[in-house]
Amino acid sequence: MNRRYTFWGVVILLAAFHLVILSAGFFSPYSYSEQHRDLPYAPPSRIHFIDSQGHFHVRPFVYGWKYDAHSPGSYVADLATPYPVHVFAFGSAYKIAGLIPSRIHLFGVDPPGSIFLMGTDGYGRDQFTRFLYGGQISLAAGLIAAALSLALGLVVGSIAGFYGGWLDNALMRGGDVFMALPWLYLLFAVRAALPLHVPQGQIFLLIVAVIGLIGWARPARLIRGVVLSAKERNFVLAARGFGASDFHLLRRHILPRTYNIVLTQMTLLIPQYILAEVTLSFLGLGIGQPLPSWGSLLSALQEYYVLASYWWMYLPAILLVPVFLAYSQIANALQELFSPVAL
Amino acid sequence: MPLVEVRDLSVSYHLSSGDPFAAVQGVSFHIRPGETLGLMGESGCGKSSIALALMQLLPKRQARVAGSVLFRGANMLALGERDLQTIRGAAISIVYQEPEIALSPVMRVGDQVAEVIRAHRPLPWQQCRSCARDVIGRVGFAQVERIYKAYPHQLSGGQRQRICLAQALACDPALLIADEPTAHLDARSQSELLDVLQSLKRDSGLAVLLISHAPEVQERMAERLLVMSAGHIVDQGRFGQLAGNSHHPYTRAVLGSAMLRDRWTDRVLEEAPAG
Repeated sequence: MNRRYTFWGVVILLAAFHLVILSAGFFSPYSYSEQHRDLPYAPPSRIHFIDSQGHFHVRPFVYGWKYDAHSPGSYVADLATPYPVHVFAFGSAYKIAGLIPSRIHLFGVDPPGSIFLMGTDGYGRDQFTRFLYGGQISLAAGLIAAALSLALGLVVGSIAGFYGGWLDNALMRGGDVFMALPWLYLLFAVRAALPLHVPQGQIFLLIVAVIGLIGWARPARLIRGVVLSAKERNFVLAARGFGASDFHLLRRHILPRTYNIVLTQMTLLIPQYILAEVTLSFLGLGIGQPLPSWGSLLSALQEYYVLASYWWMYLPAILLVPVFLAYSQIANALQELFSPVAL
Repeated sequence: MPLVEVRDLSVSYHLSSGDPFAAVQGVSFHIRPGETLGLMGESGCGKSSIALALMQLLPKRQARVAGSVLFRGANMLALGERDLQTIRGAAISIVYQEPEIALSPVMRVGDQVAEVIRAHRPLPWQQCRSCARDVIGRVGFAQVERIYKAYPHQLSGGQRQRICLAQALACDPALLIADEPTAHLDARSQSELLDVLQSLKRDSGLAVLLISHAPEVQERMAERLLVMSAGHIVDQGRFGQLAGNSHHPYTRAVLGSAMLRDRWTDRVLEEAPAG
């Protein structure tokens, strides 16, 4: 009983996270390309309730950053002017669900003040905003690539399992080849084969296609196993005896038995593929600037001085950990739910 | 003209290990329209192989079938998979011995009957369902709606077997192959099932190939009886003739063991304390 609550808690948290990412425009105070050139690598803003005179404020506020006179390149809080944090603040334009234009943000401060929950990057862009927008690309890449992989795996696995023989052998050995491919280098090769300037949308599709196409072999193998055992079940043989066609047997009696594997594999593949996209973008093979993705956010860490000096640049990577944990929790719970013991 | 004419049928299994195993060797028989032909023999003598060979349901890779099976003059063994699909379930149907596993556990049994109808008749789904209700009524269920909506695990073994029978008879086949239909049923369900089968036969002129090793079932149902041993038909005739004075030692053994058991049962009943 307790475990069930935990499971649904994780599912709801994860769904809420996806919803926040989906409505990044509302939850972020800025637009992903808005630069604060005077504040490169500014640390995260601290939210205060008590000002420098010791007065308590009901409305939280932030201080601005000014350069530290004693240590060049770092900031100190400018205690002169507090900037109160407004809820439903008016800010840069965005579109709700890509359709309805709006300028209302969940929170914000009046200019010239600024609020950077996760600090800024080298161009003074708000990392929190870019994390939310970057999630749209990274999560979408993971989800679509996983769906593609599973669709392919389902088709190949059920054909191999159902018809068997040389077809089975050919498909499964093909799968082995795909599993043995060094996919990262394959991606380099594919990217190299394309012209230098490719529209962002096509790059995105290319990444998704390559990640999805390479990963079909494992789900296909699992689904083949289920199909192989399901087609020998007596009610499948019985249905054949009543004149059922192959397609009917697959659709009505065999494929429904693979759905639990599809679901479990989906929750396993999504974080894996998000990570694949993050890796690619980290290496500069993904979506280019100024569009953010989780990988391109982290690519700033390739510079040693960023790595050594600006700890908040790690935050996107740290935030990914609970997301991946949540997915693997769900995968575990599903596996337990569908295990033969439970049935 | 017989409905089914089997000539020189042989089935051998080619498994990856060892020599091919000849399960059925040169068997010939015929079934007339509306007749019940009994097929008897010990386990492993090739009864079920004959049933599956008639329907062309044996796995093609492992099983070699030779000879000919003429159904209404057409050789079943030469037909393609498409043609076979139109015959299976519509002209020839089969009921298996284990109703527990012949039904999908995740579908309502009524829908499983309706699906057979949909496979063979160009009817909309709702009409298939109402046809299925009629058929479920015909196999001896009183509460048709309750049975229709049930899942296999909610029914008893006897009820499940009657659902399998409903599936088999949904499209009014000319021949029903019943492969040990009562083997897993208790005495009461067994007798219910045979009652239903007999009344259906009376109404529709259905021919039945009844495979059963139980002499009491054959005695009640079979008009003619084939006795099989180790892949050959060793004896045939009416049940009464064979039981009384067969020349074949195997027939005497199969039928005799049954009589021995009857005598034993009688004695137990006589000696049991009354009340």
